[in-house]
Amino acid sequence: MTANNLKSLQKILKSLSRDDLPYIFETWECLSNADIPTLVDELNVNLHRPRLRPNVNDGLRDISNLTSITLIEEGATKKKIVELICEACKIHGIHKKDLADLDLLSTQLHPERKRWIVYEIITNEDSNTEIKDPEVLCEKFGAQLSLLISHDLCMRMHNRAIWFRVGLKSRSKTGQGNAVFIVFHPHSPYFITTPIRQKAKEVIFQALIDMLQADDIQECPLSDKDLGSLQEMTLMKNAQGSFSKYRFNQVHTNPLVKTRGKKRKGSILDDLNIHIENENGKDDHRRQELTTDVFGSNPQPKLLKLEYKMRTQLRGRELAPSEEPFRCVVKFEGTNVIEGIKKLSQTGLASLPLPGHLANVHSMAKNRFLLTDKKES
Amino acid sequence: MNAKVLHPFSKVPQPQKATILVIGVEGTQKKQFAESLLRINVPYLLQIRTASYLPLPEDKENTRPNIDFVAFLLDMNNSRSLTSVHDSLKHLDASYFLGRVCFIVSQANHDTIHCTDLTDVTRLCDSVDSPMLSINFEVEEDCTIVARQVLQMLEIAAGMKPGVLPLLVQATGQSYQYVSGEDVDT
Amino acid sequence: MSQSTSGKKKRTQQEAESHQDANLDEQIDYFTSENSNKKNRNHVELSLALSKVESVAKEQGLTSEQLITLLDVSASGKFPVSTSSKLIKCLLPSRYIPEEAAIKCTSWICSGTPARELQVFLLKWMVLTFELLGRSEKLHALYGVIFNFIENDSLCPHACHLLYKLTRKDDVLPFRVNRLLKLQKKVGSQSYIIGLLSLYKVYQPHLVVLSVPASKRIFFRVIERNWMVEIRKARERSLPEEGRTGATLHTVNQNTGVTQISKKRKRDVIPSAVTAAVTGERLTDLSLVGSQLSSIPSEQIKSFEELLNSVDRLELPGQIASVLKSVVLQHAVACYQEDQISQRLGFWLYETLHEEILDQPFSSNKARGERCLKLVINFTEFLQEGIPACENFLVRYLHTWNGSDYRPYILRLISRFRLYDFPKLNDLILEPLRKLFFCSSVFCKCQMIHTFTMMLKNFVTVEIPRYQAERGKGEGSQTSSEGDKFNISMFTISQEEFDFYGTVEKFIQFVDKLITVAVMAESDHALLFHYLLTFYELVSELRCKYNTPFVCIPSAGIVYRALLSSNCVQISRMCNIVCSYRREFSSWKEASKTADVWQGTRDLIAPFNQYILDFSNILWRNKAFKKDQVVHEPFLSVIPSEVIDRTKVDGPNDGLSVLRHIALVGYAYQFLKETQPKNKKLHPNLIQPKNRDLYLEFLQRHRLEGVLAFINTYIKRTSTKR
Repeated sequence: MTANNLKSLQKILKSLSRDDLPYIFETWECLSNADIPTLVDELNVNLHRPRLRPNVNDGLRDISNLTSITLIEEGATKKKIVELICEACKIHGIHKKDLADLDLLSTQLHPERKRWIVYEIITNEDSNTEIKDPEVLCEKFGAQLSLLISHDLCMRMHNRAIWFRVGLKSRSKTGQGNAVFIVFHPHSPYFITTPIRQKAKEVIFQALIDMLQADDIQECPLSDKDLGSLQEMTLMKNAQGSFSKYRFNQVHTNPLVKTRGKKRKGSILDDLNIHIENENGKDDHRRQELTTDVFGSNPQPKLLKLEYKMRTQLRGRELAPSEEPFRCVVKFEGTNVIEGIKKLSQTGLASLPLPGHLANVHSMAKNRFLLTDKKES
Repeated sequence: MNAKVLHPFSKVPQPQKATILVIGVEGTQKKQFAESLLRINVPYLLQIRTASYLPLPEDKENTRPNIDFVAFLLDMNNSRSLTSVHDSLKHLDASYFLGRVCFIVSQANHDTIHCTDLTDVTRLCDSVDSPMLSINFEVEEDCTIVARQVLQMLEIAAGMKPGVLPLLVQATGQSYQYVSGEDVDT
Repeated sequence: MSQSTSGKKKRTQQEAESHQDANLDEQIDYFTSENSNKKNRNHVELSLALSKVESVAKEQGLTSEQLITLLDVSASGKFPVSTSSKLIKCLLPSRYIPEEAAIKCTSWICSGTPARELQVFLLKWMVLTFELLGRSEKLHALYGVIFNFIENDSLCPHACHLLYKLTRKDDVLPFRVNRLLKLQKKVGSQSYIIGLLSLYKVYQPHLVVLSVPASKRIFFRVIERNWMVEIRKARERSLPEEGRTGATLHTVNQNTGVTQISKKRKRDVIPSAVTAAVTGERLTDLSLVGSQLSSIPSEQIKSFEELLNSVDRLELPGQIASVLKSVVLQHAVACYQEDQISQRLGFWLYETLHEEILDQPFSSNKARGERCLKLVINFTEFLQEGIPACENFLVRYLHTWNGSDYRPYILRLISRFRLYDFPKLNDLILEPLRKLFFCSSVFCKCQMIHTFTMMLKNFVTVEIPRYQAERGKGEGSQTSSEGDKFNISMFTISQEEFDFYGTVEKFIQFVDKLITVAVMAESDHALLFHYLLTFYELVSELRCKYNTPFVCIPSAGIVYRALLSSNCVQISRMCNIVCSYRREFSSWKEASKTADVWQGTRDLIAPFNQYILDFSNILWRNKAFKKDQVVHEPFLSVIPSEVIDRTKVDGPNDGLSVLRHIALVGYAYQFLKETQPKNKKLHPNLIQPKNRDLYLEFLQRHRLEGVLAFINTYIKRTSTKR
């Protein structure tokens, strides 16, 4: 195993958290036949979790039945486990492909570390884009790609989506290449990738088009860091907002059956203080209802950034120029922007009813908007 | 009596009870202020009503006690709060301005995030001859101090100090000669 | 020649054990004599002489003449460079190096006679022995000459170092700065050039534009460590003889020019005093007797005597605010004739107070602000006048003050507020204070009343005389031929005319109103009453003690409340106050015949007489509710007698007398217990009229002398006193 490979291996392993390691042990083939007990012995892994088993002596641990999971349970430190894995790999020897696989695994576990962009596949006729077998697909894709660029391809299924890792040659001298991750959703024209350099993009997309016999690939105005939310927003576009209750099966089919009132978690109207009375309680209730109608009471998909390009007239001031549209960009950034908008509407800091481009973000599968004045026709 | 206008003696005041109305748009921390008011131990029953604007909704007219004191909460960071207070003042009977009103401004010292000038606020306060207090919601102690001050005024307004009316307190002062809020050249 | 050399050889060998001094002189003579052999290889005499000189120099040091001789010898190039350089290295003094040596050294370098390396050595010597110089005035006069040395590449670093030590504020001139910058362009950014420029920047920041990274930048590298060691030894030798007290306020590592700014300075609001003329080494100058220094930097002044000795030569620190830390400097600053000091101080105070206290949105760390305020208060108290910058700050701060941050300090500063026209005063601070007054707790009210009392005292004792002197000076100076500018206050006083006594009177009325309502609101709180009685005690002495043209009386609300209170001390003190008004009014009456006093006071006499009447009726004459003679507005007698009857109180008219007043009945009981036989049933009426005097004296013994004083002052005693 080359030094570069070892470095890459260590780097990837470092980026994983300790709780991810059992999964790695299970899924990564290189470790499936690792001889853990001997390695533990060799590396002198300290398996003691302090204070848990005081009656066990130091040297008389029975390590013959150790598996990877018990290893982690026993309280080995991450550093030691990483060492162990490296040793095991050294013994077996690993290839670049295995590293790529590991990289793919780690990305699957932590998709929030990358930025994801949504694309749409456009096909004219109702062609057979059904992906029957992921393996076949992978080979096809690999074949197409190798016509155009040298690469290394790796595929895994995860969460009912097909994940590809296309490893491209990088400009830097180290052996680590730039990798592109593509997540396919069968039965849907959307797929999601990490950012690709322009040249590589043309190539990969060409390969994809050829493989899927499509006409074009178009970028959707949706890109963010939370992959799950992106998938939700694109695939379940019509089941957001107040319709999400159907998705989660919160609707009881018989309206005549008395149900206990849903427990509202931490509604801002709960006032435990009997001495404080809100005169505008009605207003608040109304606001709550409106908000729930628009947003639903389920958690909103997580967007980290929302951008509006305005090309509207500047209203409200006499001195501002009024012929030309006023150009500005409004960005909302935060840990969960749609939830924030919901709260704004709930607490009354935004005037209700909210305009469509704010209220319906969850159903529009869009992250960047262009607002123009309504053309008077 | 016009129901749209709040009047201090439209109802019978109760002994050993004092009611304060805290008005501020959404975003000014009425609830936090109300809670710090309640945390102070007082020998009478303190009731707090919070509202976002005047006039108050009519449906609660019957259950509402007599309002002894009105405190307006202003946030220097929120331009709507000042305009809303301007509008609400029209619905307050003039006899409230004889010592039953005060203005509480939050973030008064945080110059960088002011939406309006502090002089606008002081001009408003002086035009109705009412005190302006400055509160800092970030520091718990400060909330308590201002709450105590408001309660002092409330007690006078609720008639708990025998012989002292809010108007008497106001009568101890003289009106401003110079325009307030400007730095008088010393 | 060989004869003389062999002779000398013999002599040296012979006199190897002889007296060292004579030996030394001879060796030095050897150097200076024309005939000596200049070769130094295998030259025994030369090496012997050299070693002798070196050993003596290192142990004892050389005398001034010897120094100069050797300097001449070495610089003249008589001997080869190695010998000369060794000689220069042993130019260590026994006491101090005469200035002449340094001047000679400079002139030798200028002449160009010594070889280049020698010149460098000479300069190095000058740099390293700078502290050992007796005086450096003349050397300082050669500043320009030394400045020219920077053009020489090899001399440049050492010249810069020497200049660094020599530079005073006046030496920083634009052309010098330009030359340094040109040099920097030529040779690149060298640390010594930057060092000198940064020093220039400290003195004249507007001339030097470059930015130097602060603190701990090593400008001048140390090369000759052994030499430095020797020099240090020489310095230590000479130190106890001179009796130097080298106290430096900011330590400058002399040989590297590294300035270490202590971390505390960054945290401290008030900077420490650094005078322009001082770097650490200059301290040695002053230790000589009869030093002719033109200005003494203010750090030297440690005590008041020193200040008095050198008050005409004092140079104030660069950071004027450091004056706030030293009492001695405050004395100096207060007497300064020029305006610039007060303006500088005002500027700094304005900025600092705003920054530290007003602009803190989250007042978490109050310690800094408190320290700053404390220093300002000390200064104000010392000066006994308010500072305009402080007043400005106070007015703005009171706007958004919550009444409790820094309260004692702010109130103290307010008590030193200067006197203005009353509407102005009212707008600026009285109105905001009033609004806070009625929102605050009773203890805060007490503190505010105390502040008002202090303000009044300040007005009457300090401010009014100041204004009167200012007005008087304005009129008198036109006639006075001397044009004696007699400054009474450090900060400018507004020249507009206003009625200061009017302000004081209105101020008293303002406080009076506040107190009346406050005492009602707080239901006669004892502590509040104490403070307000203190206030009125001051008011009741204004005419007699401070010569005001008017008399102010407390309002009826206070006076009667005190009379009817359940606290005996309040009654006693109020009686005292009423007594002292007698003196006030009589003095006013006398003055009204001749001098210029306020006629408005005449109207106060009637209500005051009513007070006296009521007091005496209620306390002494047992006529509380009886309709007696009425001078002004009657008090208790307005209550109709039917109402009194309906109360069914026994003996209402004497119910509030000295004997039966609720506050004093306890004392009556005590008195009776002491004077009556044991088993007698006690009743206040037992104190018959003739015993009342005894009773009053009894009260006096218990420190309630007010009542006795009142009775003696106002009620004419027909019976003889004992």
